[in-house]
Order: sequence, then structure tokens, then C-alpha cells
Amino acid sequence: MSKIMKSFAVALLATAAACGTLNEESPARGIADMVKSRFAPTEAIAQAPAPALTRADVDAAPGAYKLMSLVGINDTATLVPAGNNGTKVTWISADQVSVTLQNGLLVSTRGFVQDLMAADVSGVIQALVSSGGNATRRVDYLDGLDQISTEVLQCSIASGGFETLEILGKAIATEKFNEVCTSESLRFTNVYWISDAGGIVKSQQLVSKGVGFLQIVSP
Amino acid sequence: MVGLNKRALFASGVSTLAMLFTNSVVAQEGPSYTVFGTPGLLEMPTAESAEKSDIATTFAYSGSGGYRSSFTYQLTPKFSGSFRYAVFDLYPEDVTADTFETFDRSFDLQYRFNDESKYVPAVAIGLRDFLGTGRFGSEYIVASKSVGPNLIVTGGLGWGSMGTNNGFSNPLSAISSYFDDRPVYDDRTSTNAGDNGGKISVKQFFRGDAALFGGMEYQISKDLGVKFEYSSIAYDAETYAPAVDIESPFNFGVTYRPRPGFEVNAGYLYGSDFSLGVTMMLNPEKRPSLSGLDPAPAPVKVRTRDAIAASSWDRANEPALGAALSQLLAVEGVELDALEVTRTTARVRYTNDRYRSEAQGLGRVSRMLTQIMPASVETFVLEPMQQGMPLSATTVQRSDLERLENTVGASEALFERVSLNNAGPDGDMTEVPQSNSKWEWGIGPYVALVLFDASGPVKADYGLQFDGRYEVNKNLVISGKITQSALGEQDGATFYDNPNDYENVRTDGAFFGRDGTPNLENLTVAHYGRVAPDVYSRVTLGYLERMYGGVSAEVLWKPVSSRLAIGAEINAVSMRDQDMGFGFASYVTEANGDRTKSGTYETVTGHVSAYYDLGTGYQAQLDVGRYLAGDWGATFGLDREFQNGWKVGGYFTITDMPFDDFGEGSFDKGIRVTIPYDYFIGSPSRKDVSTTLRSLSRDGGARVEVDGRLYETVRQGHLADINDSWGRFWR
Repeated sequence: MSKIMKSFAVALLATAAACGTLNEESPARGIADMVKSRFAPTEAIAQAPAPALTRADVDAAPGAYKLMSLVGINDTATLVPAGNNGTKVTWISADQVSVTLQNGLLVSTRGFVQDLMAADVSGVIQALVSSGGNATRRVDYLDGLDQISTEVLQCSIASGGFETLEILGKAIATEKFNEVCTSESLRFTNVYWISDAGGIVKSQQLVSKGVGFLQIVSP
Repeated sequence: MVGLNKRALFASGVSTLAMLFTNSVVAQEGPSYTVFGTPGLLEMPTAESAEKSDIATTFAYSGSGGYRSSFTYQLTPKFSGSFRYAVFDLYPEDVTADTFETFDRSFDLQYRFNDESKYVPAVAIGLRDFLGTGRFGSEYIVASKSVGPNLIVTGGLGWGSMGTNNGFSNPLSAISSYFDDRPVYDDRTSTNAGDNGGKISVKQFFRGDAALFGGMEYQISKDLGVKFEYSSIAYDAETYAPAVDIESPFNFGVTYRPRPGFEVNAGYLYGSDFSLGVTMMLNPEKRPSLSGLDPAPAPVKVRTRDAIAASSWDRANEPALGAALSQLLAVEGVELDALEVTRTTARVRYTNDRYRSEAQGLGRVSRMLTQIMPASVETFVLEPMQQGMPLSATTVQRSDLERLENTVGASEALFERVSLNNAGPDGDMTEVPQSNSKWEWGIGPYVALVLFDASGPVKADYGLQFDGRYEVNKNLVISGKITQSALGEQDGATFYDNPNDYENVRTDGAFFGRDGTPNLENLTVAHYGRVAPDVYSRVTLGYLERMYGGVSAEVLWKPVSSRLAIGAEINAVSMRDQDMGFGFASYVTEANGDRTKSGTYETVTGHVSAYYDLGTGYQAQLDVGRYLAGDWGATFGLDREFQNGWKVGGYFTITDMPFDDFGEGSFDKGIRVTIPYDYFIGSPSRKDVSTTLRSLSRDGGARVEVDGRLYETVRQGHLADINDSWGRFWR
């Protein structure tokens, strides 16, 4: 369904048929949408299944894709690189959500309802390289008043054993690492699965309180 | 490429949001609300405060207490103010005669001295209905103390209305005999019911008998509470006092909060009546959409050293570069107007049509520039425009963008590195042909409130509206709006009585657009310009608003980094025909209620205005000049402005029109609220919705309503506003 058709349908649903560019957004409709999705978070958003990324796609272009999903939400997006800045690579989905990874660690997101504006994970990378240790993690968030707040977390990284993952039909041997981070207002655990070659092939990393954890897979 | 369904992400965000809300219930219980819409018991206050910046709207009804709709704003952690609009029965001058229905506006204030500690209760002082007609006029001191986690006990001492049940001699009389007796409020001694009120009843404060009140509230579960009070309001039968059928001073209630921000109150009041109320709470500081649902920006494209060395630039390529950049910026909802690119510097002028925050616009545009500008270009000069006026010039170093992208503290670090100046001259810029359609339109539903028509104090009008806008060029815009009510022909207002000889410049408002035909709400040609580096101009010609047409001209002096702005406006207007077509006419109301044309009403109004950003989120405005009825005076406004675009404020206007001529309320005053769309809808929008809660709109201190006054437009691109939302630069 085209975008216009979609907004037309929404407008009909809201029994407030607005059209033309000057009336296309209204707080009433925004609130109606919000209320609808709060009361019926899954039914309200029926969706066509997207064609899935296959092993053949990945083999044809190694390293060109990542898979992203929100933990607890059964919906996966394929990411492609949109730019790089030093060791940081920004990946973007077709729906204009982007994540920036530094050696596989999440340092930024854009397009979520509460983005991770930036993260300093250099200590965490060090600890992972050393197969464990303690690190300080600093993160920036944008609050409801458009102000940036910086959170400093103390994290400890330790091995959680070995696991063989199956990703798009291929078995990959990994060592799992848990990163437990705490600050006064936040406490969470990120998980990384690192292959023998030293790359993070899968991870679950916190975006923010409002969004939760993102699972990122390097197929 | 496989796509992640955006709506699913939206939904997940929102459902997690709902989760967050649920989690915060325990922490955010806050006080429950009275039928007066203030934190407290049933009719009696407590020394509790809502959370800072909470805005609570309460609708309450009881058979003999009538309707009370209130708006309470917690201005600081300890200080709150309320505005109330109530409909209830009043005793006439002869209290034995039949009661009559009245519409009453009132204001309250409460200040809490201290936070509750282990042994010391919280103590607050307050004024209820101190500015209106004083029907509930009371002063009180109240103390509240929690006993265990679920019980709050309250006791207090009230004066005025709150000193009437089992009242005793005023303890303040120990200080002075001044406090012995409370003078009767003006209008209670007047021989007609139409006296004005609206003056601060300082003469009555804390005088006369006092009485004790008290009560307690017990929280049974997270969402359910019960409360009980002993009221000190006797509701004695007195001239122009509320006619409440009271049999007992004991009131009981239940509060239910099914979700945060929403409270239902039920009570048994006065030993005679059930009451029902609903309170909705919003907090400007807590945006439901958190940081917003804006799609991801393009990342910064980083140059290599080699690329910089190899780069060359020829200005002959400018039009092609402009066309390409124009397409990129269109993705961001930004329209490119002009550019000037030298080997090292790119200067661009653009109109941000999407982001409320001009800082976010700067961030989006500068990242797009990194995608396309020749590698040798190190400096970006960004000149946001609105209505064809370049507002400022922000200089950003491209290497700073490359260095700081996705780093912690990038926002602050970049702010220290950019500079903000006046927009440069048009001189060398290459204009970019516009791709956007010059013609925009929209059809949609509208809902409006009609105050005081024949059927009651408030009524909803609804129907269809048609909006059209044609951009002749960047600076010159024709726009208009037509509405068609679904209600058909309606009677005009009959409530107003006008004790004065002034033209009914606003009190005739409720006769406008009532004949069921399409209403031309406005139709104007507006020209905007920047006449000097710090001086902006506007001329608007046409049907300016529902009641007036003519010409309005304005100039504004506002340096980019100044807290102060000075403006002047002059309007030559004529009153429109009440059928809201193209004609101009004034009418009089005949004795039988018919309206007949009596000629025209033409007038010149004008103001000199000073705007001052007080810092810490407060904005003051003073307008001095001539108003619609030919009265001279001044309007003072003060607003609390939140960085995310919310505004909550108040204003009053005093003119040389005598209070007696003004009529009820004595002078114009009100509370105003502006809510940005993006607060609710999450996705970026430059629109907002504003409401003014005023005591009646009357003929004194009335102004022409002109769309697009300069200050609100110009300030968006200036230092204070850019600084406020700078956190969005990297969003």
C-alpha cells in the first residue's frame, strides 16, 4: 500500500477524513494513533511479511548486511552500510532507522522513539579484547525537553561460556560475553557472541530504557 | 533489501512507552484532586503539591455544587496556580427568592513552605477565588503529614468561605483589630447582580471569622484511594453566595487512577449529593514520544586527506550542485533557497518546513552538505529562512562534524565550536529554482467551542474547513480559510450585556458566522522582509480574522543574540459583516433581539512591543498602545517556556476603559497554553496548538488577531531558541 493510501486509510479509521498537505497532521490524529497502539499494540498494525535475507544473499556479498531486531518483538530488519567514520560504521534500514557500530558495539541509534545519541565504549572494547575485565561506559540520551543527558556506567565484562550459533543455516562457534553495567538510574546486561575469528557475530545491546535491547546479527 | 516495518518499530516504541508509564505509577502517584481541581481532599485543600510543571484539567459535577472545570498548573515545586470556570446556582439579593444560575470564573494560588520530614508536616498557604467575583473567596493555612506509606492526614485553618462552618474569632486579631471583621465583597452590597468582580480582594484577606477543617486520604492500592474530610465551608444563604444544599460538613470520596495522568473521582458531598469528577494530567517535561520519531538522518560523510588535496572547485558548477543538494535536502523536508560555494566555504539558505527545532534543521542540513560538497570545502555557513527572511547564519566547521559525530558530549562540544551571526547579504548567492508546489491546500474537520450562545455557556461547533495557500514568491504569500459548520443556522449570543457606549468590538463576536452559510475565516496577502540586518517587516492585507479586515503592518528589531526585541505594529481595520462574507458592516441589537445594520466601524489600532527573554525559561512581553474600541493602555504577558516548545503563561490588559464600562471581570486577563504538535504525534512538525483561557472576551483591551506576527517567527532562528533545543542537532 502506498504511503498516501496508508494515511488515507488511517484518516478514515479515525473518522476524520483530512486530505491535502495543509491538514495532513493533527494532534487529534496523533493522539488517536497513540491510543490505538497502546490498547492494541499488535492487532492495530497488520503488516505484510517482508522477504527474508537468505544465506545466498549473504554469500554473494559478504559483510554487506546485518540483521536487526528489537528483543521481544518478532520483526527483523536488514541493515546496509550508509557511511563510516573511522572505526564507526553506520548501518541503515529501509525504514530509515540507523545504528552505528564500533567493532560491533552499539555507539549510536537514530530513528527510535528514544535513541542512544552516543556511547563511549572504548573501555568495553578493551575488556572484550582481554576476554574480560572492568570498564567505564558513557552514554548520551536526548530527553523530553530536548536536552542531552550523559550517563556514566560501571561495567564488568566476563565470559559466559561457549555456544554454537546457527545463523541463516550456517553453524558458527562463539564465545559468549556478558557485560553487566550499572549506574544510579540504569542497570542492564549486554551480551556479545564472538567468533573464533574475533568478530562479534551476534549481540544484544541496550538502546535506551524506552526502546529496550537491540539484537544485531552479522550473518 | 529487506525492510523493517516502521510502524512496527513505532508500535514497539509506544508499547514499551506504555510499559514505562506503568512502571512509573508507583513513583508518580502524586496528590489526588478536589472538585475545585486543586490537589487536596474533596472541597478542602491539602499541603500537597503536584509534580513540578504538571498541568491538571479537572471536570467535576455535583447536583447542588454544579459544574466546575479547572486548570491547575504547578509552576514550581512549591507554587501552583489555578483557573476555574464554573456553572452553579446563586442566591439572589433576597435570599428567600428563587436561586439563579451563574457562570463564574475564578483563580487560586497555593504556596507550600516546606517538604514534609519525619516529624514535621508540609505546610502551605493558599488563596481560593481571590480574583474573580469571590463567590468561594477563601484563604487558608494547611498542614499535611503522611502516617505510614498509605495514609495522609490533613488539618487546616480557613478564612472567608472556609471560615464559615463553626467559625470562631480570628486568631489574627491578637495582632491587630484589623482582622476582627471581614468587609463584604463589593458586589454583594451592590444593588444589581451585574457588578464586575475581577479585582483582587485584598481588603478581605485573612479577615473575619476563622474555622478549622481537616481530613485524611488512604491509598488502598496503587490505583485506588479513599478520602474523607470535615469541611469548613457552611455555604450560608447570603446574597450572591453559591446556593448549595448542605446538610452535613462531612464529605467522602473515592479516587481511581486506572493509568497515570488520569484520575476519576466520586464523592458524597454536603450530606446531600453525589459528585463525579475526572482529572487529566499532562507534564510538558515528559514528552510521551520521548526523543521523537524522526527518521534517521544521513550520516556524516568523512573526507579522506587525499580527497581534500585533490579537490578543486569551479563556481560554474554551482547550479548543478544546487540542484543536487536541493534534492537531498528535500528528503529532510528542507527547501534549498540559495547557495554560494567557494573553494573553502559553502553558504546555503534554506527553509526548514519540517523540524520545530531550527537546531535540528542545522544538524540535518550540515550532514547533507558533507555528502555532496567538494572535499576542499571546510566551512559551512547555514542560513535558515522563514517567510523568505534569512534569520541568522550559523558557521560550522566540517572537520568538527567529522570528528564529533557519534561521540559522547558531541552536542556541547559542537555548540562551543559553532558561531552564530547575522545572515549575510544576498549579493553573491545563486538562487535555486523551487521544486515545491507553490499551491497547497487541505480539507479537514474542525471543532470549535462557542461560548455563551443562547443554549448555554459552552457549546461545540464542528464542520469542515478548507485551507488554501499560494506562494507568489518566498516573501509573498496568499492564504485563506473557509469553514462550513455542520450545525446549520444558529442563534447569536444573548448572554452579554454591555453597560458601555463603546462599540461592541468583541462582544458582538458570538453573532459572527452563525447563519449557516460558509464562513470566510480569513483571506490575506502577507509580505515579509528583512529590511536591515536586525530589522524585519511584515505587511498583511485582507480579511485578517473573523471580525476584522484591513491592513496590518509591523516592524521588529531583534538582533540574533539579543534577549531584547522591540516591535511596532499598526492596523487600520474595519469590522466585517457578521455573515462572514466579503462585506464590512456593524450591527446593533434591537429590543426584540433582531440584528440590524447600523453602518460600519473603522478604527486604527497600534502597539509598541518589548519582548524580553528573562532566561531560565521565562519570557516577558509588554505591549503599549491603542486597542480596538479606541481605548489606550498596555498588555503585560509572562510565559514559562519549555525547551521542547510548550508554553504556559498569563497576561493582563489595563486600558483607560473604566472597569464599570468593561463589565464583568473589570479588565481583560487570561491564561494561555501552547502545545507543540510533535509532543503528541512524535514525528517532527513545526505546528503547535494554542489556547487562551480568559475571563470573557470583552470590548476593553481587545486586539486584532493577525496571523504570523514577526517575533515568534524570527526568534526561532536566533540564539536563545537554537540554544534551547541544541540537543536535537545530532538527532
